[in-house]
Amino acid sequence: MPAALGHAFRRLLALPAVLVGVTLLTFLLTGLIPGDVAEELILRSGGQPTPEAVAALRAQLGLDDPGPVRYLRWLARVARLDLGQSWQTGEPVGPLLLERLQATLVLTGTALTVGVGVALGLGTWAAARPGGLADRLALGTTLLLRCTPDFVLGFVLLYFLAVRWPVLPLTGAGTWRHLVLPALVLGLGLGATQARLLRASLLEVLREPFIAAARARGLGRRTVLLRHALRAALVPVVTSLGNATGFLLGGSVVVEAIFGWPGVGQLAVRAVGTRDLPVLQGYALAMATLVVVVNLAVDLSYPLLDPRIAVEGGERDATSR
Amino acid sequence: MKGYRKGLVSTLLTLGLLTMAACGRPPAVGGGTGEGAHGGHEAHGQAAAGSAAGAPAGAAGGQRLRIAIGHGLDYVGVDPLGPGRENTLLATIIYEPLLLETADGKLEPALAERWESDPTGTHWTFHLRRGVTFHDGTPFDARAVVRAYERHLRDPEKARRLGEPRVEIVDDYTVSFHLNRPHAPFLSVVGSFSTVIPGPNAYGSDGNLVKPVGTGPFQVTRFTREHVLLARYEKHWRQVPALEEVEVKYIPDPATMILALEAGEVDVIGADGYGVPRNEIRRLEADPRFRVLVNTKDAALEWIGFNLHRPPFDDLRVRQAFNYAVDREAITRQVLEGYAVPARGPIGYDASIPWTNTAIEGYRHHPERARALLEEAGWKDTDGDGIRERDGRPLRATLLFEPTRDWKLVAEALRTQLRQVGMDLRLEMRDGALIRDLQKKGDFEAAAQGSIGKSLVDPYYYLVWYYSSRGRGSLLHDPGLDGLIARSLSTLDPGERERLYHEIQARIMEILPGAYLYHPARVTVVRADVEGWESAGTMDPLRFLWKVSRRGGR
Repeated sequence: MPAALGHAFRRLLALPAVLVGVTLLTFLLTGLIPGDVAEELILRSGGQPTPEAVAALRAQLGLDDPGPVRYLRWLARVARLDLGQSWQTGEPVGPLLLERLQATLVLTGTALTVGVGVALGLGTWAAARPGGLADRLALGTTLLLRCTPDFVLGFVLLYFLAVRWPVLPLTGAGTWRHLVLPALVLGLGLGATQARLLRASLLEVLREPFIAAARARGLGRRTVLLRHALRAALVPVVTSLGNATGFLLGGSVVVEAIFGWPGVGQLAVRAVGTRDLPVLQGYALAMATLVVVVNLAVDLSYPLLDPRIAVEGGERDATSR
Repeated sequence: MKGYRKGLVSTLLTLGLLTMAACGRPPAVGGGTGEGAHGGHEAHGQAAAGSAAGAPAGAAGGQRLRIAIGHGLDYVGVDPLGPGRENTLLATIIYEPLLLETADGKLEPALAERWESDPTGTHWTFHLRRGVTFHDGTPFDARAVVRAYERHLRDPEKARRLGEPRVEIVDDYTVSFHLNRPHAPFLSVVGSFSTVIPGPNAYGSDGNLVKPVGTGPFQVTRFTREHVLLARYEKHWRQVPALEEVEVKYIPDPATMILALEAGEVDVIGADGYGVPRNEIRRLEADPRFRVLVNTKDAALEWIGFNLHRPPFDDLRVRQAFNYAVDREAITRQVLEGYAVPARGPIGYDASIPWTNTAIEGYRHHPERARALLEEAGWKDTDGDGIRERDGRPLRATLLFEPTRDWKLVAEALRTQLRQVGMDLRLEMRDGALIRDLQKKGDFEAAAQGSIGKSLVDPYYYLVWYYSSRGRGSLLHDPGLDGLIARSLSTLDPGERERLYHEIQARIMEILPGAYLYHPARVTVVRADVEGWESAGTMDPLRFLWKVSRRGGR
């Protein structure tokens, strides 16, 4: 598959440019935060920011240099895989991010699995008999789930599964039992959206000529639906899932806060509050990388799902099947 | 195509396996104490054997307490002392200073058994407690104190607050401090969490703290991002705490925190002074499973600072009118549901708050007097719209405040109250840093102020911060006040200092750079069997944890 590999390679080449853009933007935006960073850091540590203390800290953090110098210095360090140290805790940002990212990836990964499961189950169930009872039930459920904000769903699940009938722990992390509630909250909403998308996509694909051809060959309903139609119908779902991953990573902030999940979202929120610029910069870099990589993976998955899609140009060539 | 697909599948499989592997083990930071398998108990030294981390309260015999903290814990590091850190939360239970603040703002012996100074107040000698050991068994002595202070004094700000002393070892159990000039707040800083003494093995090669080794009543046994497990230190010099194990849990969302209390997942909420939403307190108060502890004997004070160099508050009569227009009783009773005490002046409301000048009556709600004062200052409602004017300009001011729940409600109440005397108070919710910035530039009319530097033991830095020309948040430049504050700094006689502090407060009320509104109560909710809980300052809320026990030995 040389075309696909070439495409992937070019996308990878563009990655540094994207990352530089994202980090530059972050850098410029953090410069707009009002207040003296050094003064805030001292105040938040319970210290008293006398002019001397502020000046000393500014010098120590290199804040007196002009913006471009600071940005280039940061970039040069990143090139050596050094993301600097948190101003708040003095910890190296790289390991800190990795550790938090791990927690977030576990959560979003599980949520994604829940979402895909819900989507495949409800989506195909609904599409199997359009307009039937199953279809209407699935459409109703997914509509309800889609319209419920994460924090509302979070509290409903928290209240019933952890307070009323305490079968699951409320907050914390560490075991799979801690993972269930936050993953459900994140995953159900996602699954609902994807299920509707899959249903629509399936109904469309089922009208395509190759399905008629498959039916004509005497294949069973089930086989046609699951073997032939589903794969092609997954293309828009996978695209949407790719986008959703970005939202999941960013949107896990609320869920992480509700359930006390020690993920990267909470780290970023606190970094904004404490003006911890090295952590913010590192966070932006990590998120941008993840989103670009996920989108690349989505692009590369198209030809696997539906061979009618040629990577180059993306034209549909129905005759090749 | 085939090979490519295989590659993708195996990549996905690997990712899945990694995810599962990651699930099995919580992300943990070692913090020097090592990390164990989940649920296991990582005993550091000899402590707390037999109580499992995952066991429910009481199951393993020892008393256990789980405290939910909303802010701060996430970043608690083992080093409570570096610049720009927010990790002071656990500092005073793991580490101890030479002296300790009591709940009513006095200083009592801690690692120093007694102390004395020469008559000039520049030479201080501390006689250290003998037989104290750090958590790792190292004996505590003068060398540990000097090492800790050398590090404290590297921070220029802390050095200033201590009066820039030179520290020396006299003998194994005696340390002396030499100051260039008398510095009255010296002892209060020696007795604060900012000058705790870590053990010699707590430092890394770069001089930073890398292991939480102190002499405090509790020692860290496990340290992860979402909670800290502490075990009582069996060899503590004062008394071994009744609590065998303490879990400090990080729950950022206040609503979840209350659910966690109700679900029995934690025993204490609100200890950090942020977490308990007022509308939920009444419900928790009615629940026999909990006790609601309300502390108003705190140094906290919410007030509004005026810009004295810009209309309309450049006129003393307008500032007085503002103060008369405010109904503090109504705000504390109705808006804050009784969880606050009306303020009278810049320090406290009665003698229970140390250093308070009780002669200050403050401003009672008196709209008539407010109207008369505005009238006298030339502000009259000529067009009948309810807002006064002078020279064609309406009596209008903008109040800047931070987006906290309380301030949103209080600001709205203030707007209504001021409207009744003919002033249009505009409300602007802004980030704290922006407010301080605008205030520094003098680009504001009125701004909500907090209690920066205000402490029961000695409010000297609070006075410097807001009322001295040297202060960063300074609202006024008054040579009289500057002189009084400078004299109070070099006056060692407690009676004389108190007199000076009273004079400072009287002068502040004369100039009236602010409207002193209320002292917020700190509300902590504990499970009903928790006994001996005392709240301390917001920066070190767990200072009295060693006094806590659970009734029935649960």
